[in-house]
Amino acid sequence: MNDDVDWIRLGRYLAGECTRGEADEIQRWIESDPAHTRLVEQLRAAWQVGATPTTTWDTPAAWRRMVARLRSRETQKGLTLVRGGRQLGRGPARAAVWAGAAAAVLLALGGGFWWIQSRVPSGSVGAVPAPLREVRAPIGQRAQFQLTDGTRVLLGPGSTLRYDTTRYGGSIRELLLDGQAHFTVAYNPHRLFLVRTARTVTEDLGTEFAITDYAADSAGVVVVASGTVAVRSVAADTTRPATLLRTGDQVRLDPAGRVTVRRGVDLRSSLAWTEGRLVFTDTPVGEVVTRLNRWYGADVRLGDPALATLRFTAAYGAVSEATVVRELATAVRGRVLRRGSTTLIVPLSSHQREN
Amino acid sequence: MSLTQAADEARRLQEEPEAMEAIRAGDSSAFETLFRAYHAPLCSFAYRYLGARDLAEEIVQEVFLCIWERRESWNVRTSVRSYLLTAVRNAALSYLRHERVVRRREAEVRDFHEIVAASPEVRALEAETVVAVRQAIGRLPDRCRLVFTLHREQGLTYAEVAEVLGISPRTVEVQIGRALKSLRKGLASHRP
Repeated sequence: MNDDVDWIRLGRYLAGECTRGEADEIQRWIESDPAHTRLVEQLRAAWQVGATPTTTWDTPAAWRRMVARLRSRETQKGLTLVRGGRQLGRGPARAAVWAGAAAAVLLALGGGFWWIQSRVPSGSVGAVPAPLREVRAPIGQRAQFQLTDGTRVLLGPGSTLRYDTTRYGGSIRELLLDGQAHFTVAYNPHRLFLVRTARTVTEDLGTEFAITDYAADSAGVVVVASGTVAVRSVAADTTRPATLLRTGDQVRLDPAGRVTVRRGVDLRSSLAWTEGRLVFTDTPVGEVVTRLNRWYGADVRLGDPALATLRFTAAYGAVSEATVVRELATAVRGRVLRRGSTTLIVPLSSHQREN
Repeated sequence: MSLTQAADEARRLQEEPEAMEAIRAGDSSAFETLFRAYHAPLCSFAYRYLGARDLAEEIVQEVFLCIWERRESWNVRTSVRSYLLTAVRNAALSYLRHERVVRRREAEVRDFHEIVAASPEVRALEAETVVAVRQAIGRLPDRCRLVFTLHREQGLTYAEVAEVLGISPRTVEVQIGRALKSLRKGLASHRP
């Protein structure tokens, strides 16, 4: 029976894509044989079922997220510099007015103090500075705490997290990070979770990820342990889409806005710091020293700048700074010199020059 | 397509140029209308490519964000619907191109028990038949299933399906024909 059926024509017939003449012909064919009639009946069933969507989507929640993200992008563009209540620089950019509360502008100043400014809907800027809560992990230590919505944060050494306690938990849960942090975000589709660093903006629903963006580093890095996040570069123009990351994905954003994505990274290594382990995988020695100093609150320096580009691979649990320094020195064929609180790693061959 | 659906569709197509003009001018409520109208079908479409709900939603969000960011120069050649579907398809393919890890398709089995917003014709069918058809659709080869879904679920014409997928209308016809043949076989084996 299947052999003499013109499936393509039947398709056109059911789709309403055939001419009047063709439709009549097919109609006659259908009526000519009860088997044909039955066939088309079955096909109609399939045709109808095919039109029904099989999944439901929460569009109202998605719209709220969309508004939150659009507002957060606006504030990025319409920055107004404020220092001590006085307005500097250019005025606010023309922005769309979204239904709901007035947009808030979160500002970063190089000197390290932060203000929040509320933008009145009419477009004029009124400065209502509100101090931010600050949580800090000193160099040599990490700090763990929980935010009001249940999000858990682990700060890496030498890192600071700032946020407005009165606004956190509103339509946008917004945080400012300087340094390194691991987030286990409490799931809430109605409240966008957003972290800003000097180089990155990461938006998320409810997932587990870590950001590393220290001022001294060459780039910001975001790695996802589970769930999905969207990461944008602060430097990039907001018309470019964000980078979507899922479990095991990592993105590196440099100050120029260049984006490098790696998928399927070794999470145990990338997130080793959250478990109190130090892991180096083919890491340039210059970076090893920077991380060592942060981790231990040490002052290790390289006696010869040429050492900085060598590579080092090692993994440590709970060990002393002295052990790591000693092994690093050995790996670069150097030795350790102590000068007061400073530790110097010098190449072996410099022995003659020492006085 | 029923008469009321056709009338809605005709009205929407007539109103499209005004809606687009409003969005270009920065009218956020026109943008909201667009978002609410197309969000669900676009997510379903993205889901067909990506096999993961959260990713599908994020891709659709990014498409809308881009439209808003570039609204001043936003223009579509045919219809808003095919523009949006093409944009979502491109974004999904772009994502898949960079993905090394094999993606796991979320089990479509759990969807079988949701008969969502079914038309009276579908509600009249037995639940078993609906399940059997859904399974048969799920077993169609990828390209065939995409064409069938775009035409049926998204309501595109053959020409629009061809445009969104970047294939010829003849290929669309052939794929729909193949889909019908496979579905019929699937149904025939289900019924006693």
